[in-house]
Amino acid sequence: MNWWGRLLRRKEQEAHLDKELHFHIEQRVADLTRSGIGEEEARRTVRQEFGGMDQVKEECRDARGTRWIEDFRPDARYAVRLLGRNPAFAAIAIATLALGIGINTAAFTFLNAFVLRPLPIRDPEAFVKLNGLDRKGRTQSFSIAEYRDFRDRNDVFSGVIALSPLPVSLGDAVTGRAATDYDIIPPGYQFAFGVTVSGNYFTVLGGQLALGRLLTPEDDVTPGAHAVVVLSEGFWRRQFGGDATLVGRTIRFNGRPYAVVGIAAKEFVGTQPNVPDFWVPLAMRGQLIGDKADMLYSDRAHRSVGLYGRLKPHVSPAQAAAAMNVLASSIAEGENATARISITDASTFVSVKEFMPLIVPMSLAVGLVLVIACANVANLLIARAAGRQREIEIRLAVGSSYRRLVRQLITESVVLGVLGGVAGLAASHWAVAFGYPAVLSQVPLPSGYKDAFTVDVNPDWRVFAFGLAVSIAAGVLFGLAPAINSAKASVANARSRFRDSMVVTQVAICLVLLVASGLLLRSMWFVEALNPGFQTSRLYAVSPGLTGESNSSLERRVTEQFALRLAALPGIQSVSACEKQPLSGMSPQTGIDGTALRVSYNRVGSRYFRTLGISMIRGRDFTEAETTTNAPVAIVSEGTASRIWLGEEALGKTIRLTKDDVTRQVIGVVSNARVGILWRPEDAYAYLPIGSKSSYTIFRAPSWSPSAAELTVRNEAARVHPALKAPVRAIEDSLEYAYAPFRFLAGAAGLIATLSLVLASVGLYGVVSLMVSQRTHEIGIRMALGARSSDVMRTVFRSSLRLVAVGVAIGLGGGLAFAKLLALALIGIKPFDLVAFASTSGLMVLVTALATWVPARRAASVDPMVTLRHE
Amino acid sequence: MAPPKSDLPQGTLDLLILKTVAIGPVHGYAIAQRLQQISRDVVQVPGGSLYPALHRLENRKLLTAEWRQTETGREAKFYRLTRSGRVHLQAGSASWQRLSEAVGLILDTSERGAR
Repeated sequence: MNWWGRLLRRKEQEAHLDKELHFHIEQRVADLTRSGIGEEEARRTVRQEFGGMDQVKEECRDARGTRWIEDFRPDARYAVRLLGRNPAFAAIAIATLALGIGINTAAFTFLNAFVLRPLPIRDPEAFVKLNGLDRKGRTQSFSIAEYRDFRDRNDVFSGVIALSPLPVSLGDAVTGRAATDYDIIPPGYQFAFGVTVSGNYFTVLGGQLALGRLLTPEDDVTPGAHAVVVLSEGFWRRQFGGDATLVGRTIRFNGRPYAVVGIAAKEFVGTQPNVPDFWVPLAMRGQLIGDKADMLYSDRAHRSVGLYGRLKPHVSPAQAAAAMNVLASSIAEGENATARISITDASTFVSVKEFMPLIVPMSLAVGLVLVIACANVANLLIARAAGRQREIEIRLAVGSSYRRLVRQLITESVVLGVLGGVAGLAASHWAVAFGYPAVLSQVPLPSGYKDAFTVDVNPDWRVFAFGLAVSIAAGVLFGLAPAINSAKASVANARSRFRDSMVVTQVAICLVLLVASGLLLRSMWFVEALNPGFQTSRLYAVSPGLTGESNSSLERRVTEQFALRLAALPGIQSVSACEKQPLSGMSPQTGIDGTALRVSYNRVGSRYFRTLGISMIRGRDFTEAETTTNAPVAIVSEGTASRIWLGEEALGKTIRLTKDDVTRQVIGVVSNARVGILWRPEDAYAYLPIGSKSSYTIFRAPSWSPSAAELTVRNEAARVHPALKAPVRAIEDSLEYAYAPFRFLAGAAGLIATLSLVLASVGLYGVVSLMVSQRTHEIGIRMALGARSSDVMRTVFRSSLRLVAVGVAIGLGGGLAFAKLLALALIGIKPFDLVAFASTSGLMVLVTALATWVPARRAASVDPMVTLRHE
Repeated sequence: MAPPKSDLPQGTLDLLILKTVAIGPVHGYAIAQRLQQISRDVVQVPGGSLYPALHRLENRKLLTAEWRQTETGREAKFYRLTRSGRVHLQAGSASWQRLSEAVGLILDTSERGAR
């Protein structure tokens, strides 16, 4: 009979055991009586030689190997009763555990939502991402022409899809078939964040439908032919109030009419955690983005799409990669062609590998908080065990085995762990459900980007399973040592040693977390104090464009006129233009012919440096004529000048950027500025004239708040041309976006460290209090013999701080190891940052001294007369 | 768990039980009797040691058991050796032989040395 069978047929087992043992006894009695002994006498003899029936049965049950689970129920019931008898102990222990388990469950909830939970698509395991690499091994997108080749000529995928995100502005009105004006979209600028997708997108992913139809391959054949759109359920509800009559009507994207053919089901989210607002055929992308339409579909150098595929059955990612590489090399054309393709798992939103640098320290940190909480509860249990000594001694005396007793005590702690786990799950769900949106709303990100973090954080079975596993593990973790300790009925000495080791552990772990949070805080302060090299306050970038207009000469005329009018406005100090706005990510890079140097570059208008506040060190700015005609001139940063022409005058030298292919004369040298990513210096920079086409108008208006700037610019745009849209972005906001990840990390680490500090100091307080109360008598005698209060205080402090010192020493070592894990997030400071290590150690000692001081005071105020009389 | 209440070295009882059962299917009481007879009353196994040991061996699949009639017509649990029980018995007796010879040698030597 197997283990389960034995467990399930428990009654039968018991009957058999009874029968077997009785058979033995009856046989023995029969044998004895046969040899002439009276039955009474025989029975007595047998009882003596056989041993206690119940005890033998106990041992037979033990031998069966299912004992622990059979005993679990009565033991658990007893444990609950015991907790009920001591509600203060139960409350403190459960609250402590809830904190420790809750923080782990909360962290797991996010890990689950982003990394572990498979995409809600058909058969997610076979879903992979295709990563294209150029000849130098750099990641790059694919061209649409390339996509078509890959889709049609491979034999490893059952389907390959292409997609490319596309933000659009929404038109001002929705017109229905009923031909009545249907003014749903409120006036002003409205953006929608959608995706242009290949026609097979929904078929390959297994998209579900709520209303109408999904996109089909026929929608994605002729560029510009099928102006159709499928809306996501969320967008349909948010923007159109879930109006079922919307299907079949027309809405405007970038001023162009699109027929709504269907609404995707709520469950369908696509391939990203943020659900796109809409899906449009890839063949319509050219029309929506404007003038590059022709290049988009035929030019292999025009790389705009990302590819995903569904592996055929029994095809491994490695086989697929090999096959795709052969295919890629057979169609590779031109310098930028895809040279190699790698296949990565795309069955979840983000790959575990990618997020390892964040996952490892985070899980470690929350895990350590749980260890501190467990140490606290272990200390409580040890303290309680002293009170249960009598019960345990009696149970041992009446024949309870040592193992049985340990099992009973472990059951008690597991019950405690599970109760704490239930409370922790509830707390974590509450914190995540309410706290996360609240935190997210504080994060300064544009709403479209913010959606990328909006995931379903409702706990699923994985979260529950994790919570339960952690609770049980915690129960065993904090219960094992105290259980063994008390079952051995060990001496008070061993107990106090155990408590001491718990204190050392807590102090050490707590210091590791404090150091981590100190380092991240210092890093955040460093980033916040960074000088970007230009003035961000009241600096605005505008991207003007005509909606629904593909006449580029009209658009150019209108935007030029708009820039002129902007410059003439009274509040505006300075206006210029640029291809890439400041603080919007790394600038494009290029080599410089004849040097090994790579520089970042941007195309800018005249007065760009004056507008941003970048100082002109030598030479002069571009003139208006130079920028419009794209004259062969360039301005370089100090960093570029010193790297190429060290010690020589840069002005008048010539420079030729590989991607620009024009020999330009250097006419000015400007100071270095961090115009790409705030915390990544881009000292080697080159500025080229912008030519006639500008992407961004950039201006400084010292007296305009962001909302005032937006309003004024909108009104001005409307005056220039009714279809002219000019969304404004405050560069100050970009600075906030740059700070956000550092603030998040410092905040999370600070929260974790604070919690652990509270737990550890409560733990130390408890241990010192207990020590003091146990030694009240001794202290009383000492004071009667002439010891002063200060002597008593000193004694208490000495024993407490000795533990703290050991803990701090270990914690500093641990902190050093932990700091290495954080290296990626540490900007401007070294992992071994003396300030962070010293200040957190100081804080640790200070807090522990405080936790000692309160009970020490109590010890010092012991009245010797009272204690002695008490005896 | 409490140690076996016989003076046998740990693990020896298992070996003796396996050896006894190897002769043929036999119930617990008969095992105790046989052990006592064969060892000329040296080995006396109280029920408190025998039955836990039998159940443990059954749990480790060295023994298997079934309920059968005895000659006197009563129902009893009969134990039988399994294949792995047989292997275990062989390995166990071999190592016991080696050990007892070695112990004998050492005792002999030290006695001579003491003389």
